[in-house]
Amino acid sequence: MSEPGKPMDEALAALYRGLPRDDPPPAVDAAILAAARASVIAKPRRQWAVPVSLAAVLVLSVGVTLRVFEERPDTQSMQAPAAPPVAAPPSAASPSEPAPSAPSPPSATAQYTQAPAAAVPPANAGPPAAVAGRSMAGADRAERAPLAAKSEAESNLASAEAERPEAWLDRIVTLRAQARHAEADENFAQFKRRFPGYIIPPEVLEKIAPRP
Amino acid sequence: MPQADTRVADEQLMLAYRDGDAEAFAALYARHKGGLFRFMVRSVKDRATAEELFQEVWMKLIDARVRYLPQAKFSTYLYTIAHNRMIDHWRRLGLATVSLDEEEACEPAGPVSMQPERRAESNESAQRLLAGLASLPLLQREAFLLHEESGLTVAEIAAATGTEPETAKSRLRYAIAKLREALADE
Repeated sequence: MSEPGKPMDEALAALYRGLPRDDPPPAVDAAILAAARASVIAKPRRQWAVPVSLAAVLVLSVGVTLRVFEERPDTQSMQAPAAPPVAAPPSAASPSEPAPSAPSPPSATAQYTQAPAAAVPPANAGPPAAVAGRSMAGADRAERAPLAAKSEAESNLASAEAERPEAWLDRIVTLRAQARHAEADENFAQFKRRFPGYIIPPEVLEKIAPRP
Repeated sequence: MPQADTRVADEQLMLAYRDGDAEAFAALYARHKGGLFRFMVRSVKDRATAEELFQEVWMKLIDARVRYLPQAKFSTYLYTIAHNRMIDHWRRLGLATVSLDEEEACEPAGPVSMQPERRAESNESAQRLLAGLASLPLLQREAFLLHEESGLTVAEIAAATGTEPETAKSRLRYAIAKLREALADE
């Protein structure tokens, strides 16, 4: 047996190389070359897509953040005064219609603004500082009863229901100061029923709590 | 058998393709497509199957391009893929490939008249050679085709087929001896 590489093998190899040179059909060539190109094209797209996406997200985030800060309203203007000015004109609206930031109905508050107790602010002058910081959510929801009261107490109670809780508490303080304890007790009880979850500041509660 | 030349080495082309140069692949493909295709056609004899296997080998190479490292000659790398694909094909056909010499399984060859290559061949010696090649056991035929079509040395054939060099050398020797007998058989 001859070893590969010897002259007889060269003759065999030459004969083999003389056989018809068969090549793959053009369609197979095209399919393989297309797959090779697609593989190369797909890769760079994935390579730059991620960093570009991250950069775009970063730029967008910074832009939005800067925009928010630029358009942020002045914090002073955000802190609107809790109480309307004392000299505000009486609301022309019907007493039965709630006015979110309007003072109490004139008929119900006039007598308290003329009260001799100088230490107690008028009811329509807004709540005291201790009360002003409390939630105002209940104020707008407070229902206002029609002014059909026949007695002064009933009138006070009816108007009290239309007030904000802070103004109502101020009025009860005024009643106590005027020694009108029966009305004060009744208003206090009515207040507790109307605003069961309202936390009355201790210094206010001390002034208006029913006497034993 | 491909001749050594001063062109850019196959391994450099494959590295360029790995790094995204599709033209490098085209050059590489042009160099090796003929040899690999004939390796397939003369291994399985059925042309449609050969085309399918040929395409699968290149697709596997394309899929693996990002992991390519030039640890061996590119042709060894390419024909290793081809050998593995061929082994899968033979196993699917239920052909044994474990024996080493004359007792190896031999894929049944179709009738001579059905093989276009043979119809086109006018030279009698060439016809005898093709007939002898078709009658070789699978692994001997593979060793001969790897030697002639890809230019692999015995050691490279051993590397591509996952065998010892002595085994590869033995297969090649048996193949050559049988082909010589086929040519001498008048």
